[in-house]
Amino acid sequence: MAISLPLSDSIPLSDAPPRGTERGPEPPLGRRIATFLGTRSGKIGVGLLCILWTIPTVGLFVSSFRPANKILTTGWWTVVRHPQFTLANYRDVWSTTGGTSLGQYFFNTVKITVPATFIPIVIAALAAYALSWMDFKGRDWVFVGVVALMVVPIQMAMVPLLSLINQGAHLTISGHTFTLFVIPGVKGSVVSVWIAHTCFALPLAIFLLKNFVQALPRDLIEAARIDGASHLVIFTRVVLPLAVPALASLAIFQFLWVWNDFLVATVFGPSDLKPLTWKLNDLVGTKGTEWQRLTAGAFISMIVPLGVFFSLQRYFVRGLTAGAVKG
Amino acid sequence: MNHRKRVVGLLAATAFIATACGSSKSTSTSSSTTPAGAATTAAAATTVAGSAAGTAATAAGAAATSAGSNPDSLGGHKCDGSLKGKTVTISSSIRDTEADKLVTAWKPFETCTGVTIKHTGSGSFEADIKTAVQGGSQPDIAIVPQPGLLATLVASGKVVARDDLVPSVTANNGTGWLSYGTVNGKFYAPPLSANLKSLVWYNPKSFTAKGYAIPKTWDELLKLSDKIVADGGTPWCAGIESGTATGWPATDFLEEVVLSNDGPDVYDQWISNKIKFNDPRIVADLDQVGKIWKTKGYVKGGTDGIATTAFGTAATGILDSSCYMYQMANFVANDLVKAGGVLGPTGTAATFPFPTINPANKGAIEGGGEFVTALRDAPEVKAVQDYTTSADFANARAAQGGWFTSNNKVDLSNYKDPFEKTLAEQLKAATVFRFDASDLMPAAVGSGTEWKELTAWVTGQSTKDTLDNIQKSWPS
Amino acid sequence: MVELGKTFLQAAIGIGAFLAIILLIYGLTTLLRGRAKERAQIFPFLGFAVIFLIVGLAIPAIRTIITSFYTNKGGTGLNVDTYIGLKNYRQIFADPKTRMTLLNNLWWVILGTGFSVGVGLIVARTADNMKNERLWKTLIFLPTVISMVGAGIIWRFILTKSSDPKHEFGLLNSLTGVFGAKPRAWLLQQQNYLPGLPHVNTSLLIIVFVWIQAGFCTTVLSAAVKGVPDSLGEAGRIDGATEFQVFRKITIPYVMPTIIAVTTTTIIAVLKVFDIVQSMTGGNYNTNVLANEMFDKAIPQNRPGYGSALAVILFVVVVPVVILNLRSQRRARELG
Repeated sequence: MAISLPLSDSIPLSDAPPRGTERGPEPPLGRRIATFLGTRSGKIGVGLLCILWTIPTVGLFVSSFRPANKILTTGWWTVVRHPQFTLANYRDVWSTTGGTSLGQYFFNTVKITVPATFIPIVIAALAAYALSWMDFKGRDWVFVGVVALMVVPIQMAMVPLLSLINQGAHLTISGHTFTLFVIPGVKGSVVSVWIAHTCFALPLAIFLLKNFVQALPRDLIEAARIDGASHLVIFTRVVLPLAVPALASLAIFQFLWVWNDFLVATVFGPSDLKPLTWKLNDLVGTKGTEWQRLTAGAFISMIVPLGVFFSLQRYFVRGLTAGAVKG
Repeated sequence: MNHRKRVVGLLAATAFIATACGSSKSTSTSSSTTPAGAATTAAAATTVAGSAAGTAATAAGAAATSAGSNPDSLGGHKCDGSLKGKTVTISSSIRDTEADKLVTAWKPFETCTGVTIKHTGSGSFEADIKTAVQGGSQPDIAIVPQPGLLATLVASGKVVARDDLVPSVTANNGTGWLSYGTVNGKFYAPPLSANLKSLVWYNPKSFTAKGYAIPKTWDELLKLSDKIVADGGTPWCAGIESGTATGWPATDFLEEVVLSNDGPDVYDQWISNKIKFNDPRIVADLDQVGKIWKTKGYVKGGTDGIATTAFGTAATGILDSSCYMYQMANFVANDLVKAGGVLGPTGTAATFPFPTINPANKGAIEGGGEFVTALRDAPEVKAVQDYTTSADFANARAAQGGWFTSNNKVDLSNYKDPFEKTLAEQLKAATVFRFDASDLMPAAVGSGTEWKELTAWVTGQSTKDTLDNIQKSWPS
Repeated sequence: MVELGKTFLQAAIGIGAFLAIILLIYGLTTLLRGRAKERAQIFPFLGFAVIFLIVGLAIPAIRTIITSFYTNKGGTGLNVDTYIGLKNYRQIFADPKTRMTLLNNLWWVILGTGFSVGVGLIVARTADNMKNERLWKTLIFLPTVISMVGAGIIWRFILTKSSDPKHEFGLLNSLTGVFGAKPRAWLLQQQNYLPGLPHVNTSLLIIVFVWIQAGFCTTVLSAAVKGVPDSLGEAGRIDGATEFQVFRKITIPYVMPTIIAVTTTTIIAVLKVFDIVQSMTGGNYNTNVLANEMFDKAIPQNRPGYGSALAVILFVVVVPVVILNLRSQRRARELG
């Protein structure tokens, strides 16, 4: 880490002796906590917190390799004394799929997830640029509207959107029905899932990206403008490279939400394009009785998101040093 | 709430056990070879057990390899391949192994008419179908487990009426089943399958070992419970946990007491809310349920155990005699088999009829079912609907086990399992049959406050508050 | 492999078509001149967002508001058909359970948001100086990767009470058992050990939320913490500032806009939370929250009018939060 982050590690914050401890006899609680966090024991505390955070997942992981009858009779931690492992749960989940291989659902999820991650982020980045660096009336109101829409519960928005995608919009005035528009060729295709995910992801994505894009140094953008650069050039050459850390973190979260989504894909997806989560849920049976399948299934569905996280993590941590430009 | 749907997932679990017998089993079934429209005659389904003659059911198993083994017609439709190239989509709450069996059972019809059937089963079917119908992405056919939901779908105007099926459904299933598929005087949905709820599960082996006799009346039931407690055992298992549908098993128990204690007339008026939820009679009935569920020492795990145990898991208590009785519908058989239970009066899991509370209502039983609802008006959709309600289909499906129907044209010897055969006989012999009340009530009550309030009741809320709250939520 | 290729090809075509449309529209605007061009160019940048937001969220939101004044008579139909004015709202506030639900929501906002952001800030700040920084952050982030189905099962392993006391497999009961406590059905515990705090079961549900959400907060906040120029902190220390003063006077103000953004996002996530409650208690045992009640009423219970009214209440509750946050964010930016 020290190598990849010379900027933050070059000044040894951590190796400095604990400060503040010798000051006043009764420092306020907030100060003591903050001081504590800078000390070695503070680091140990955070380390312990992180480990504590992992225990539930470890429990799941260990359980996924335990025989079904053991899962529901003994705690997973007893494996330390009585190790007994099996791959049966994974084999079970992988093979019991009623004709279609689990792989097909894996591909379905990929087909849904990749564009449903990419498209909303591009649209949000464009909008964030417009809301930060293009001058027009009502700009602030558009932004307030976007934020307000973050609140709309997806469950309430799904049916009207689905109806619009499938049936178009019609207006009935005194008995005559006028078709405002129909969206051809989208009904029952993967495109409707993309559209739905895009709609539901946009408010948060615009909100987060606008905060970032707006904080970029004004001088840089002004300079580019004076040089006669167009909006497209400023956006692609100046804003996007600087926004990499924000884009990368947002991409990770959007990816995770879509990958783990069940509701949107179930409602908007055609029956032959159900995602992995749908299939796993299907395999699970009624809750409480099929825990062993769940444990294995949950891990199978975690593999790709974890991989994406690890590969993108380096990317956005490195990108963040570029973010320091904003100082 | 129709509880079949919860079960289907559990059935899934029996995959390893069931698939082994699924397709290889060649219970030869001679299917209807009568011309269109005649499927309602008793002659439509004669069984030639053990015969190797080409039949619909075996055609399915053998993947219809040999030409000429196909029947002339199925479910009243000529096998002329006239529906070639047509596709019918079906949505239901039926999943996994159960769904596979269903697909196998309509394979002969696909071969016969050339139609392609695409089935999707979902654990959240009830919510999904409403969204789909409103959003315009509904399937061609929905297999609806609740008459209440059927009425809701009909109100959307997208359900296709099938008044032409009235004579055959009346003849095959009786007027009761006809009425469950009827909304505002129009007939929409013929039944696909049935289940029975007025049952108590017990373990014949442990009953014999302890010398317990099967109770016939409510008093005998309570006396037996006390005796088991005195012997140091726990008489009952119970569990109402079922994810988002937690609480439904409690509605079943209450319904059985209402039906057996106050009779079918009160039961019907209770469904239409002519008799209020907080009527003294219903209060007394819920207190009867409380006599079993809330008496200390009666139920394994106490009331906390009832609230947190999945209904399928609760059943397995009878197998190791950690409890002795469990009130639950027939479909829990799948959990018992999966947990190593052997069904039947000589095995480790069997049922006795729900004991009579009021002798005047002896023999009244409660049950449920699923209804085939068409959402697109097209010949191929009607054809599939016709087939799924015919004796041809029922015979093919019964042969695969874990299923039974109210269709009395099905040859009982086609049932793969003696257990289902008994159920079908019981249904046939019932003097009074009533459909699950909560499935007929408005969803706000039957799939809403009744579950929630009874769950609160199990964990300590008073009977009065519980029933008052349910009554208050009745939609106006 | 062929399948994988096809999958990516399809995804690529979708993305490509989308980018092509944007570029095409932008290209058309370059044909214009002067102010007209300046105005027209707003469209390729903002137009898509606005269209998607209007179609996907704004129109449904307006429909929801209208629906909240209607009911489906008799509770049968899918769509509302009868105007009933404010009756849905009156019913909601007349229901004694609503008070509990709102109180629970309040606790969710305070504790759920407080702990998520707090843990995020502490880990972001401290792990920054720790060896194996990435490892620690990954551990905090791990739960975010798990789907709700998985998270639900994980926490059942912890909170469950076995029906057979000899075979206890719930982690929490096993731990308390070491200290001689009797096993409990934790999600049924409706008492509070400290007066004024939420019920035990609601507290446990909030812990599950924090467990999932802290990864998001840590990731976003650590980006901001890293953006604090080290020279600033160092300058402060040379001037004799304590570590706490550096944290409070330099780090916090510097990352304040991010803290506010994360807090806003988390508050909204908290208010919309329903899958945790739905999958763990179904809203029973006094653990209900608005979003779960809304879903329950609108879809399974078939009361679209009542559900819409709950959605509107949810909306009304959040709007001041959003406005407050926008304001303080602007102030923080002006100060920073």
